Amino acid sequence: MPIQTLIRNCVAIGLVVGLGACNGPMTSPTQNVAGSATVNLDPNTRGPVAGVGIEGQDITSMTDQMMRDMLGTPQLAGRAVPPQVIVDGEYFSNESSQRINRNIIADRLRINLNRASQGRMVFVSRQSAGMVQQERDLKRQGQVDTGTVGLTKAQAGGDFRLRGNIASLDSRDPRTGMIQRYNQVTFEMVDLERGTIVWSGIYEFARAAADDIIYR
Amino acid sequence: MTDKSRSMNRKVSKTTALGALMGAAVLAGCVPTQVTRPPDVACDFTPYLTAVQAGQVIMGPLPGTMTAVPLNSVRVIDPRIANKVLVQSVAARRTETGTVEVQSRLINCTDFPLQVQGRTMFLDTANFNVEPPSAWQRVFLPPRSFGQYQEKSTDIRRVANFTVELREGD
Repeated sequence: MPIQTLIRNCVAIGLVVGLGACNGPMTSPTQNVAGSATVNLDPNTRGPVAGVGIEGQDITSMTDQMMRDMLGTPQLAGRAVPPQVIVDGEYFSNESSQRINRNIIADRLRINLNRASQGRMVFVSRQSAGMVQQERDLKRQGQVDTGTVGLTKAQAGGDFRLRGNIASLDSRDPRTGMIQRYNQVTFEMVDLERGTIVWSGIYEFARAAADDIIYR
Repeated sequence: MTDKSRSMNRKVSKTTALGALMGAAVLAGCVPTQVTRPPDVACDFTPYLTAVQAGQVIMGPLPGTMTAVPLNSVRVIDPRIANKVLVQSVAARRTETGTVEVQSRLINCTDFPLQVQGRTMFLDTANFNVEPPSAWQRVFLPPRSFGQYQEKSTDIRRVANFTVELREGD
C-alpha cells in the first residue's frame, strides 16, 4: 500500500471514530437530575426558599398591619374633611444589608389603604404628576376637551406623606456559619405643612439560619 | 436569728406565696374545663355523597355536612398547638375612627417558648366577609405566660361579627 493511501485511510478511520465519539452522548438517553415541579404558594405564608431577611409574607403582614393601624388613627382617618395623602416609595429608604425593591412595600400599602379607606383619605399620585401636567396642558391649549370632571386651578397638594426606612443588624458565628439578622421597618406619616409626625408604625423581627439563601 | 434575716425570710416567703399564686392562676387558666373552646371544624361527606349518588349535580350547602363555627370567638385550627395554647379571653370594641378592634389573650401552657400566628375575618350581620381576612400576625408566647393577639378591621359600618384563627408560627 502506498504511503499516501495509508495516511488517507488512517485519517478517514480517525474521523469516523471521532464523529462516533461525538455522536455517542447525543444519541444516548438524557440523564436529567430530578427537578421540582412548580408549586403555587400562599403569599401570606413562608415558602420552601426562606432566609433571614424580609420575605413575601413579611411584606403582606407589615403592610396589612400598617394599613389597619392607619385607619384606626383619628388624625388620619377620622377627619371631617378627608386628608390628601401621598404614599409612595420616594422617601422610603433602604439601609439594610438586603437588596430589596422599596416600591413593593409602598405600593402594596397605598393600594390596600386606598381600597380599604373608602373615601376616608384622598390619595395623591405624585408619581403621576408629569402625566397629569401633560394632559392639563393639552386641555388648556384646546387640543383636547375639558373632560367631564372639570378644571382645577392646580394639581392636588399633599397634607401628609409617607416616609420610612428599612434597617438591619447582622451577626455571624464563624464557627457554625449561623447568621442572625434583626430587621426593622419603620413607617411615618409626616404633616407636609408643619413637618410634624402624625402617625408612626414599626415592624420588626429577628431570624437566624445557616442556610445559603440569596435575596435578589 | 437577727432582725435583718427575719425580715429577709418574710420577704422570701411573701415572694414564694405570690409566685405560687401566680403559678396557680396560670395553671388554672390551662385547665381545659375552665375555658370554653369552640369545636374544631368537622366535615362529614356522607350527605354529600348520598346526594351525588341520587343524581344531584349542583347543590348548595347540605345540612349535617359541617358543624357550626361559633362567631366572635378564637379557633385554634392547627393541631400542633391545640393542646399547647389556650385562649383566656377575647373581646372587641370600636376605635375612635369606628373600626373594630379585636383583642385576645393567649396562654402558653408549655414549658418552652411558642410562636403562634393569628388572623381575623370580619363579617357583617349576614355573615358575609366585609373585607379580606387580615394577614397572619405573629405572637410570641414565653413559657407558661401570656401573649396578646390584636387586630383591627378596616371597615367602619358593616362589621357585626368576627372570627379569629390561630395556627403555629412557621
